[in-house]
Amino acid sequence: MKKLEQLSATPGTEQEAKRLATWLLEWDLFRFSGTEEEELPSATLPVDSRQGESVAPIDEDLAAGEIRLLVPRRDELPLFIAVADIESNDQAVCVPFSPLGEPATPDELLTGRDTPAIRVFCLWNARTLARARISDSWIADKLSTAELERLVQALKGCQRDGHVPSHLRADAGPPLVHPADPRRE
Amino acid sequence: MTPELEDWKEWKRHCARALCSEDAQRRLAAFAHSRFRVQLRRQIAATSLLHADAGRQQPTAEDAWHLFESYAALTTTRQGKRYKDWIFARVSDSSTSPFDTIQSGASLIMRSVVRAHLRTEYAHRRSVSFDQPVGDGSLTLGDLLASTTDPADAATGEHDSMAKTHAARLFSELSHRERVGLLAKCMGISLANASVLSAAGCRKSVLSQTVRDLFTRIKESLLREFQEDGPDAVMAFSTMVLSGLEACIYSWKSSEKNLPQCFHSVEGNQQ
Repeated sequence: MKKLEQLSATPGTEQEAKRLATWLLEWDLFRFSGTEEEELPSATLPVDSRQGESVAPIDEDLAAGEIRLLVPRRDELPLFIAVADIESNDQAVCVPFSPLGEPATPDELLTGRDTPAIRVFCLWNARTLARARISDSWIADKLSTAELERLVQALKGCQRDGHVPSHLRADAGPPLVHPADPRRE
Repeated sequence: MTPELEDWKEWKRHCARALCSEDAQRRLAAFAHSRFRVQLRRQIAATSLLHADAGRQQPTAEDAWHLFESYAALTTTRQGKRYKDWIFARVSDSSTSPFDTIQSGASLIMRSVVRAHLRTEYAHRRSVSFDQPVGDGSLTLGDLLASTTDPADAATGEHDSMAKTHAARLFSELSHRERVGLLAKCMGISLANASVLSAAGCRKSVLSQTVRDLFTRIKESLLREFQEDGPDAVMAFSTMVLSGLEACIYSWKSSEKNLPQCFHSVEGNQQ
């Protein structure tokens, strides 16, 4: 006898399966390819050189919609962020881009850009920080008005519901339902 | 043929390698080619998830350099190529030479370049099946993409309370080791973590097997019990049971006094 007859379920889609499979592949590559210290002399934080003629000065003035590249930290990969909002109390809301090319979870979103370094917004990792902390970076590009509006909508949805609004769902990662899902790592 | 510091500086001064001297162009492309091949070999060895063709067609030196230059270039302007400043800003006047630091920065970027290349060129060549194993093979893609239900549906509410009862019964039958393994999984803590292993009282291989067996047991028992129902409904119900089990495990964590610090210092995915 059927016991779950009334349960109306929506199965995972082909697109979600493809996206998750690709993310899992890239995650494997990301995790296991990072041990080449012998080829990577440890770098130190730039101090004087940042002021030197060969490096552009940082862009201190901050505005919503900017895509910024943070100045390098010790042995870290380049980190791009988008400035989503500037608050009145001298703080700014910024959203980092994922190092991976597919959105992992419902709170990661494809940006619509093809450049690999800025393909995915990590909305779950959005931070409100003092402007001074974020402005230690270079402006690399700007979001269009439509892109910024979309980012703000997505961010609000994630803060409210834990996922992007339904009209953006097709560009976000699949739901996280299983306790042993590797995306929790 | 390796680049010289002057080659990198020339590249930095100009907007593209094509504007550098021919010698510098050749040396920079040779650098990109060599780092690309090293990373390609490493990354292909790191996973079993790539299509078997991966790496058979290797890019030329020119292609490797092109991939490197386009990975983080947001526009074609100098501003859009701030990654060049990022590479040079890593240089300091301390012990590491500017030349080594510049090349190490470029190598760091090359890791991501190769990863993006493998994703775009090879990930989609493989057909995706919901039965495809994930991680250690105890789960499939289908398990992670289990059917979802509409919380606003009245029937969902009824089944949710049935799932909670199921989860509570399952939880009461779990051994201490199973609880520790499940909690670690829910919190995204590695089963190789020494404190987790100490709390579980076993080696990593045993704990991994315990967790694998637990999920298999849950899945099989639900499939048996609801064999008359459609697979989507059973998968959706199984998601609800697992969610209930997760709530039970977090509740147990709050009441359990002897759990190691790692379970309290990580925020995890508590609901």
